[in-house]
Amino acid sequence: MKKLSLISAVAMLFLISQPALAQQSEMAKKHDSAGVTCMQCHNQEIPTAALEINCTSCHGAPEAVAKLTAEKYKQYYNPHDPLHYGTYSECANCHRQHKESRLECNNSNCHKEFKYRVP
Amino acid sequence: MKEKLTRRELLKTGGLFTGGMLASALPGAATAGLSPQKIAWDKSFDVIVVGSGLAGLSAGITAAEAGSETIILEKMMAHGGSSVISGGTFAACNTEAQKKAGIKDSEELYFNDLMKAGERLNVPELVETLVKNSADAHRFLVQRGALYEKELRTVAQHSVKRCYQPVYSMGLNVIKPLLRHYLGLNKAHLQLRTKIDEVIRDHSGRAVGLKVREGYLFDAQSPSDDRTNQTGTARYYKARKGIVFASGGFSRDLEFREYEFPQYRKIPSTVQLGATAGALKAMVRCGARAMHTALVRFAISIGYEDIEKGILLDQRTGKRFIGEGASRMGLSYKIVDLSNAGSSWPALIYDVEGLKTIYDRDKLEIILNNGEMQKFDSLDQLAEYFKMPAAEVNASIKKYNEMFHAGIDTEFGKDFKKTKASPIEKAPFYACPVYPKFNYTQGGILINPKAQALDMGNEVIPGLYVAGEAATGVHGAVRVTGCSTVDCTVYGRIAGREAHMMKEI
Repeated sequence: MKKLSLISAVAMLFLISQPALAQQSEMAKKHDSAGVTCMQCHNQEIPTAALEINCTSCHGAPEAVAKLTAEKYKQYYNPHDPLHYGTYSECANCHRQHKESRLECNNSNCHKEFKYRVP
Repeated sequence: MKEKLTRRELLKTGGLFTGGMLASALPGAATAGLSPQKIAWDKSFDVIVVGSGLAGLSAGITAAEAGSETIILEKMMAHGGSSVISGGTFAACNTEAQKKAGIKDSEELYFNDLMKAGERLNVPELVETLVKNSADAHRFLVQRGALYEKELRTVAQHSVKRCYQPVYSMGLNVIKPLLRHYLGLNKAHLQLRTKIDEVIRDHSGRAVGLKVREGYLFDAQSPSDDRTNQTGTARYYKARKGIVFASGGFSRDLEFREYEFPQYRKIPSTVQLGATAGALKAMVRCGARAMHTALVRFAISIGYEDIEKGILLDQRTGKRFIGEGASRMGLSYKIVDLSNAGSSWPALIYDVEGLKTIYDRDKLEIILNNGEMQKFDSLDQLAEYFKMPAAEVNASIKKYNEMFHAGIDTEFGKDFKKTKASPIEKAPFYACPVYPKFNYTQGGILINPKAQALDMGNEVIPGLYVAGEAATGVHGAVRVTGCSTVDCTVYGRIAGREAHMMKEI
């Protein structure tokens, strides 16, 4: 089994890391300038999905992040405490390091009227 | 194909039912001799629940409250599946609210409503179980923090008032409190981004574990995420007691739908993006029986009862094509026919006075906000927007208005009075495209009243339970409004309880 996961890890290295290098999202730029390393998000030597816990260890718990934007969005929906999901969804649902970030709320045109800028 | 057949044969002789595990493993994988005894389980739980919508939460809460160590696995980055974006209407009979309002209802009446709507394709024992447990299911949710409006609602296909409506939003006032309650229980876990690849059965046939992928990154752009997505790290999870699939339907799985519903290839879906057939396929590979998979329920973005108040024009010809009061499915079929013949979606048109008569203001507000419902100063402008022949549009509306004032629809026999229709006379005009959307797939894995999955010989697969949209047999031809939530809760609870009571291995 170990061999297997090593093979898939190598495969993923090509699948994921190549476009990652080519594309620099706003989040990636910010992380770069703050000196955040790959390992701080991914926790392992092989590139695999970033762990939520590594977002919260720097940015605080989802509830705390929701409070940060509550005032700014008070007339609208707070994107960090949306009606459907509250504070339970993962950060990477919208914020992407290796791809363009996007608002999950209008991912399939459910809420085309939402116009939030997502770093 | 040949390779798959040999593998299947190999499995038969080996007495191990992990069909797809081999097929989906990476090339060169040496898993052929694998038996559950030899699997190095990465994690183990009493009860594993697949899916975090209403059925999954009901199962998880029931198992965890009974004392089982429970994990709910969710493929997506957020919990709640389709439940979290659902309207959430909940139909129950013999409730306190009915007694207070003096509404006479009975299990028989509810049962008959469901059998009639389901065209008697429903498995009667399953409907009976649903009906009998419906009021208790509602209490279960309320006791765990779900909020419903006090007033019961009248809903199509229910012969009496028996429908509760969540306060404001199901995600906010039903799913969120349930999730909070669940996470507060002892030994109750939720793990997002965990995809199920295979169900593993032991030599006795019992479902004993799952092959999963942790850290899964769902790809909404893929025509078949289940087939193309290679993300995540493979892990083996053991279920000491049971596995509950509350994995929803497959409305969003375009590749799976292509042959299941060849006539509806162009029809979009309203449900959550992750509603693909992967879990269904995994259960079928382990031997479970799929049934009724070509049955679908359509939704329309405007309130269905409001369509009959306006005029519907075919996009290509600019002419009427149906009496606007037609049934939900009848209208949907007609629109599909037009679309397959090369039309875009038909336009539903009201004038400024007609718009005021719309009953479902919530839906109207949504489509006014998201741009689906547009405002026009003239009918020519409207025709241009929808790329319709303007002369025909004007002629059709002129004729419609004349018929309206004469009181007789000589074209399609619509009853202007009964439908509370208005003429299309006073600008501004409002119009939106009307089209059916995949809203629910009735098919899935056949269960018995204990929510146990059955195999092709109608034998129980020990340790494997299915609840909610992933299961089939309850709804028959078409699901009735308000009956998915009750299905999820009733069978989720049964599955959680039965899984909890399984002998530990």
